[in-house]
Amino acid sequence: MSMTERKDEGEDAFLETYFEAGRSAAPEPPTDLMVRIAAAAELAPASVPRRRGRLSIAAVLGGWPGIAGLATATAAGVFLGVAAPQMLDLVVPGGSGVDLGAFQPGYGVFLGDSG
Amino acid sequence: MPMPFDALEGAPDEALLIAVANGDAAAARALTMRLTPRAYAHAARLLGDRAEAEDVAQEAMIRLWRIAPDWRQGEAKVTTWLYRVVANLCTDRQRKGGRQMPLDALPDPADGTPGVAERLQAADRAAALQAALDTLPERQRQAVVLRHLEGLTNPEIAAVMDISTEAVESLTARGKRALAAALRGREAELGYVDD
Repeated sequence: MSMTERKDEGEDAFLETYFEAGRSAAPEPPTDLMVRIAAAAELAPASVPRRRGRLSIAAVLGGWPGIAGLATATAAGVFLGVAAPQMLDLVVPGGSGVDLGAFQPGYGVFLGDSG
Repeated sequence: MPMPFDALEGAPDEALLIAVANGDAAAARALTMRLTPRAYAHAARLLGDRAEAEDVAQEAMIRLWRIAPDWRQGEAKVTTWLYRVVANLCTDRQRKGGRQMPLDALPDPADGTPGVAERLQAADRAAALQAALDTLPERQRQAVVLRHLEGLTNPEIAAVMDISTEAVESLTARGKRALAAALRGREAELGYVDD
């Protein structure tokens, strides 16, 4: 047996007296802690919502920030729909006199009509 | 249907946990009695503080109740999961600068019955061990505690700490060397001699 092995064995034996003392003086939980934990078990499974099959709409949309963003976008869409016809006059001078249809291709393009 | 009382004693942890998920109060009590002492002792040894250990043990057990309905059978041992959660909670507390006081492991002064001197020495040793454990780096302390105080095997510790068994061996070896040095220093300080 080498010197190192003998030293390790000596060290193990030395530490073992401490480990033995540590094991026999294991910190024991107070009774009221055990009571609280057991009581919590009776509440937990029923009180905690299961994630499976109960995904809310809010969660799908990314929580409340997602919903807020969606509401803003909806309001902006409604505003544009209502306000745009009047705003067009600002963008196109004398807008009411311009026929936007003039910018659209004729149906002939789609029907293969060369004329 | 609740598990009959006789069945609780020998039932595996996992079977009890599934019963808990089904609302079986007797199984919850049995599992509390079985696992809370382990969670509490482990937390106390990692933190060196019993009040903090109570909080950690309670939090770990409540988390166990919460995951009970989603527990995947056969994937991990319940105790492995529990030791891991306890260690993580302890780490969180230590990083947040929680209290770090030596365990008040010494019993009340001698009452004159035979063997008191021996018991005092054992209690003194336990307290000295805890003080020395408190000086170890976190991972070394965890490995040494799991191996030599909780009695886990190296592969079990590897599963708890999510490292290889070789890494466990290395951590425990380094931890034990540091412990031995600290304890020998303390013995010399107190003028102790080997029995």
